[in-house]
Amino acid sequence: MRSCNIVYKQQFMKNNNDTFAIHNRLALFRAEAGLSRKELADRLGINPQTVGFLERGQYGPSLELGLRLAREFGVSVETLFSLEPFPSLARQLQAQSGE
Amino acid sequence: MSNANPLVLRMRPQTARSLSVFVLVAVAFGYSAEAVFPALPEAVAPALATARLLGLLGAIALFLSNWGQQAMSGDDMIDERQQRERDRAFVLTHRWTVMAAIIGFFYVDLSGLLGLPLPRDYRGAADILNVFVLVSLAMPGIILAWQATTDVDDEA
Repeated sequence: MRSCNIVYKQQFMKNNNDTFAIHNRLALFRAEAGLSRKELADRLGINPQTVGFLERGQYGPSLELGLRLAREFGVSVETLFSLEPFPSLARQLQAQSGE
Repeated sequence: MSNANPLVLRMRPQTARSLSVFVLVAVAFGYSAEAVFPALPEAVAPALATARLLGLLGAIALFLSNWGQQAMSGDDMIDERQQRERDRAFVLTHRWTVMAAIIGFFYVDLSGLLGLPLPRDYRGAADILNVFVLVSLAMPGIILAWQATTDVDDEA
């Protein structure tokens, strides 16, 4: 749970040596679903450590794995992964309560 | 790599790293010392034989470990991240062995000019080749162990 509102990013090198990041909400969705890393990994047929790598942004998933993850949580890929940083959950809640 | 396979020797990254250093030193020392330094006293022979034996046993343990098995796994046995790590380990192994071979060629060529030690007979040359082959075989698993990141949460 400690990392559910943390958005991780993955650094990739583009051909022109600029860097861009892939951000994900995987830890948030997994915590919300009440799944351990092992349970999620078993559902997807991957190693539990790979879930950890994905959540920490240390590994960028293939298109197939990204789609399977999105299907597992019943959301679109864009909801789970983004090239732009996700707003933090705390700020979103703060903004909603201020409205 | 499946954790349930009883033939796989589960090894923490730190253990595999320590063992890999021991194997590399023991194999290199045990096989190369006599070939490179033929004037070594007879009393050293048992120590070299012990180093060779322990190095070989360590290399077998590394091969049977989860790291060695991941390196030898087919695509259907590991997930896409592990496949990528395995492929990267083999590319690095290829680069290092080619580099070692090139350095070896230069060493042999320059040894006459610079008076560097060389194996005196066929046995000594075969020992050097043994080191090269053993290290090349163990290297992908060793690289995987050294590149592994430890995170206790991953087991949860």
